[in-house]
Order: sequence, then structure tokens, then C-alpha cells
Amino acid sequence: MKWPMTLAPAAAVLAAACLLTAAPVAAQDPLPSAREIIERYVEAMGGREAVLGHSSSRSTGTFSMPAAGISGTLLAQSAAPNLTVLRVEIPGLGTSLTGFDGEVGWSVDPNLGARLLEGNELAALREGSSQLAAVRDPSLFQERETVELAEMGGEACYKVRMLWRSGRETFDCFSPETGLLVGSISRQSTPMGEIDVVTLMERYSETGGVLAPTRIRQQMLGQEQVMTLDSIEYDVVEPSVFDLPEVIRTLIRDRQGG
Amino acid sequence: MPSHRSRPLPRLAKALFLAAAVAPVGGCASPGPGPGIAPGPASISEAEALEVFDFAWTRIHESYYDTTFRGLDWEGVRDELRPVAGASSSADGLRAVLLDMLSRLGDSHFGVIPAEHADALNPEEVVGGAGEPGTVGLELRVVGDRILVSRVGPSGSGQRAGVRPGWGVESIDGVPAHQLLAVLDDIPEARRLAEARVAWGAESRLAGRVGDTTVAAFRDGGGALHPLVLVSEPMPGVPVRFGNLPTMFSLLEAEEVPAGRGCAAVIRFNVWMTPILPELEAAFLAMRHCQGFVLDLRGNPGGVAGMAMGVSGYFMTEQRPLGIMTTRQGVLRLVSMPRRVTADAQPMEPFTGPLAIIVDGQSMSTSEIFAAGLQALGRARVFGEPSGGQALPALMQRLPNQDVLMHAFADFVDPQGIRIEGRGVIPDVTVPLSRDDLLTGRDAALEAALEWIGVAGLGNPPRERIEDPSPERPTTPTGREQP
Repeated sequence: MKWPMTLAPAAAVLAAACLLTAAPVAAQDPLPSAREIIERYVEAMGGREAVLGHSSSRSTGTFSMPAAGISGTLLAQSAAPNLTVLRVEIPGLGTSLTGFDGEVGWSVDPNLGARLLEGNELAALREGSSQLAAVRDPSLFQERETVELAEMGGEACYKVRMLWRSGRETFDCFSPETGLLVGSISRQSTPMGEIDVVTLMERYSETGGVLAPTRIRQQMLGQEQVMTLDSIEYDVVEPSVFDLPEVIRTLIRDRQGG
Repeated sequence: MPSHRSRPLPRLAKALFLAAAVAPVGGCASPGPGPGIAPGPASISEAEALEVFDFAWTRIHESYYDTTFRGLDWEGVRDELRPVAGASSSADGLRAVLLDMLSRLGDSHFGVIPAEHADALNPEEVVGGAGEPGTVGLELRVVGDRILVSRVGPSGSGQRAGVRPGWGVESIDGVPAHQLLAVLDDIPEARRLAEARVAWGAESRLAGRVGDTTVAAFRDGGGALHPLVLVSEPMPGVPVRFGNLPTMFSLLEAEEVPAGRGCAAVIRFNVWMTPILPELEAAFLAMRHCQGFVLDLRGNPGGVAGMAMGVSGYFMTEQRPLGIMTTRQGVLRLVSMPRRVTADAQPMEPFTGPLAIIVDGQSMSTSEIFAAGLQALGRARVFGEPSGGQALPALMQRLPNQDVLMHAFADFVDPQGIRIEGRGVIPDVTVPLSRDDLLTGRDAALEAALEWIGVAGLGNPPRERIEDPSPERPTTPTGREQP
């Protein structure tokens, strides 16, 4: 989780109910199945082949917490099958890194230091890092179930309950109109406890044959974080960017007793 | 001799907290042009004033941690003050109304920082030149009915002019000390906070922009009066700006001093901002061979709360809650994050020996979260005077007129469930500041901490108290009376 300030600090969960409220569903309009909704979503993005056809992606942009006047830059890189590293630089705070190299989930934060992720925090990163997560591949889930026609960020959407292999439960909401993912609701594990997070996907744009959101708003604990992507490039990432930082290697050696 | 001052800048590291302090101590009782509301004739239309008022009221209405507003009729406050805000003809007038509104909550961490202060300085443009915030290198405290010099910086104009700890401030730019102290009589119920305000306000008067001169009169221990001309010089430390906070200058000092049969590491830093971390780690590594550590948080008004988790990790071997933040939407734990690796990737173990923390009435916010948490866990022994009791997590939000609204969004209790707001951290060993000690160059609180380290460091290191912690009763060190 990115630190507000205490000043603190801070973060509180925007009650999901505020953004995601049930809407009456006409009896004559049965809800589509989760499989149908997700298949349409994948097609709307450009198709499974287009999405999974890229071996890596590199996104650059900005990170901000507008209400607190906090802004910085972000660099998100990922590669098949499940590699990822996210770098956020915020003036006055420093550089935060989070990554998964296929085995190890890790974080280096200027305030909290370096640490190896564990438990639900690691599970979420592991599952989210999978390239297959982009297409919500059935292999990642125990269950996928359409719950209701709801509203999120002012937009109607099919709310789909996703029970991941790890046992985590999240909710995705897909537009009946475009098929695209409107947003999601999750409970994120952090060292500070669990935090409910509402994520809104906006401003879809096509690059490399894939339609992807270029603005992602995350609302938690009454605060909003905005990630705006200026560029998305595919198949340009050097494998070495996923190498574990030396501080993380040290932690691993320490854990292994060597 | 007249002083030559351009328009003063607030002591930026403390401006935020002064602004915060305005609310609980009664709004506009500030003795002069302190950092609360900037003087300025800027006019404002009724529509603009109402937009700002409504924004601030609504933000708090939606985020205040207690939906009952602790018994306050928050909507009634709006109904009463909204027309007053609409009738404001100036930015200053509107700010006064906002501060009145915020003061009704009776909490810390509610305030308004004028846009011109919040945006006064770009840290990347700081060169220590004329026009930038300056300092004369003197720290002040209120002791009894006097404003005393509590610390003299090693290279400021105050030091060069011969000012010594314990000297009393008689006047600053012609304003007599008794006038600066008058506010204490107005708000006896918030004495500790009021003393901090008076001291910071006096520091703000002493310091101007780099190159400014101030005429101040001090009385030494023998009763002699010393009228002096002090020149403001560049602020020491690293300029840092985080979000909507004003630019601050973070400064860390570290030294190894004798304690017991060995040494103690004494680390002092003035604000919880990230730039101190590399220096803190370097000091930690260089002095971890000592018997114990002293973290001197006197005068430290807080900063980024998350830093308390990482800094405590130098002294905690396990993740333990330092405290609980309760917001409307949920509960979060601030936990210690044990440090197992240095920034340059060397393995490291947290220090498990004696840890002393020194606080005083100017230790606030993150300093209190840190001290209260480690004290409650039994990991640290706290020395000094009760802290400021200003311990609510807060956010800084721009208002439509670009002023910054500071508002608490969470309540905070220590690991034992004790609310620190309004109470402060009560030292295990209370050591009041006295003029006699200052005049003789004695730091009694540090002495007490070192004495404890000297003894405790010889035996088994104190253990982290994990289960069923019971509060340690304050004790009396070296024959001192507790207040």
C-alpha cells in the first residue's frame, strides 16, 4: 500500500456499497454466466491471442493521490508467465518497488524497508502477476459466478465473484455495453491489516492490438490513488529487470540461514 | 535599533502543527503574525467563500472518524457559521471562520494552511540564499512563566552572539515576552499545547528570511540584559516537501556518548520525513556496538506516520502493533517492521539492547505514535516531559481557494488501547526542564536516560513484552519529584 501521510498516513476504505449498489434486474433478463461475461471481455480487449501473444509489457505514467497533493512517476513491467515489477517514485518520499519473479514476492519501501511478502499478500501478487490473470483464465480460479447487475463508478456492470485458487475472493464488474472491465473490488492484505479496495478501470485505449485501461483509480480508506498510463509498450522488456534486488537476495539468504 | 525584516515565513517544519494547534486552543488567540493565517488583503466573493466553506465542512462531515462527532452538532455548526463565511470579505476572514469551525471539534490535526505558506518554497530551488526561510539557531521552550532558550545551534547567529541555554527571552522586535505569554492565561486547560505554541511563535518571530535581522533582548542567569541583533541564516538540514505539506528541513544529529562502562548512541531528528532515513541507518550501524540507544524526539512535531513502522524496525525483532488507527471505514494497525537488511544489502539484526526515548511537550503526532507504541510494548523506556497529545492521523487536502485543509481522519490508540490524543505520552521517568539545568548546561532528561542505559545495558537486554503488557508506572529518577 502506498503511504499517505499520517499524517498521516492514511487510508480508509471507500465503502463498496457506495460505488457498487445492486440494481433491480428484470426477471426476463437472466444474468449471463461468468464464463460468457469473461469470454466477451477477452474478445473486447482484442482476443485471447492478442492479449497473450505479447511476451512482455512496459507501462509508464504517473501515480497520484490528488486530494493529498501527492504525485510521482510509475513504471510497471511484466512478462510471461508471471513476472512483474512496479516502481513508483514520489518526491519527498522516495522510491517504492514491488515485484514477483515467479517464486518470490518482495517489496522495498523507503519507510518500511525491504521485505519478503508472505501469506495472502504474496498469494495476491502471485496470482495477479500471472499473464493468464489478464484474461481471467479458468485455471486461476476455483469458482467464477455472476452475482448481479450492479453499478460501479456510475456505470452499469455485471458483478462477477471470482474465487481464486488461493482462496481469495474478489469481484470484477464488466460492462454489458462494451464487455470491458469497469472495475473490481478486493480485500488486500497488508502489514497493517486487510484493506478493502475499489478499483476503477477507465479510458481504454488500444495499443499492440490490445484494448487496455490507461487510467486506474483505486479507492481505499476514503482516499483515492490514480495511476495514469502515458505509454504501453509490448515485447520490449529486458528479462533482467525482474532480477531480485540485492537487498531481497540478502533477505532470502538470511531466511535460509546462509 | 530597528530590525529589518521582510515578510516572515513560518518555521515551516512546525507550521503545519501550529496550524493544527490553532483549533484546540481557541482559534485566533495567536500572538501576532504566526504561521496560522497569513496576513493578506485578498478579497473573496460570497460564492467563493461559500464554496470553500462547503468543501471543508463536507470533507470533514464525510471523513471524521466518529460519526457522532463526539456529541457535537456538526450540522448545527454549519448552519451557524456558513452565513458568517459567506459574509467574509477577505481570505483572512474566511480562514478565521474555518478555524472557528474546526476548533469546535476540539481535536488536534485540524487546521488551515494558507496557500502562500503551503507553496512558499520549492525544495529543489533551495540554495540557502536571501529570501529563503532562515534561522538564528535558537530553540525555545516555555518554562514556568518564561520563554527560555533551550538549545543553541552550533553555528547560528545566536551562538555567535553569545546566547546561552537558560537565557530568558525578554523581547523580540519590541514585543515583550509577557505579551507573547499572555495566551497561556487564556487557555489554562490546554497549557501544554499553548506552551508549545508560544515557543514556536517566538521562534518564528526570531527567525526571518535569510539575511533578515531581528532585535531581541535576553536575560542571562545573573540577571543581566543582553540586547542583540540576530541575523537569519540558511536553515540546516535537507529541504523536503511531501504532498500538500509545506517544505520542511529535516535534520538528524547523532553522537556516541559515555554510558555505564561503554557508550550510548544518541540520535536526534527534528521531523519524521524520509530524507532522515539514510542518516538514521548510518548512525544506527555505526553505533550499534553501544550498550543502548537514545532517540531524542524533543521538539519533533511529527511527519509521515508510516515512518514509525520502519524506524521501530531497527529496535524490534518481530512485527508488533505500535497502535491502532480507527477510521470510519475500518481499522488499521501500525506495526513495527523489523529491519533485516541494510540499504546496501548487508544483513542486519535489530538492536535488542536498552532503548530510551526522550519526549517533551513539543513531541507530537508521529513522535507520539512511535514513543507510545514502543513504551506500551515494553520495548522502550520514555524519559522527559509528557508529550503534546496531538496524535491523530491526518490528511492534507487542497481547498478550492488552494489553501490546505488539514483534517484528522482516524483516531489512534496505543497497543494497550490508551488514547494518546489530549493525553500525550506519559514518560516512565519524568524529568522536568528547569532553568537551572539549562544555565548549567545540564540535560537532565538525557542524563537520566544514559544512567538507565548504563545500568540496564550491563545486564540482560530488556525483552519485548508480547503478551498481556502491563503499563509500567512512572518512577522517580535520581531523586526527582514527579509533577
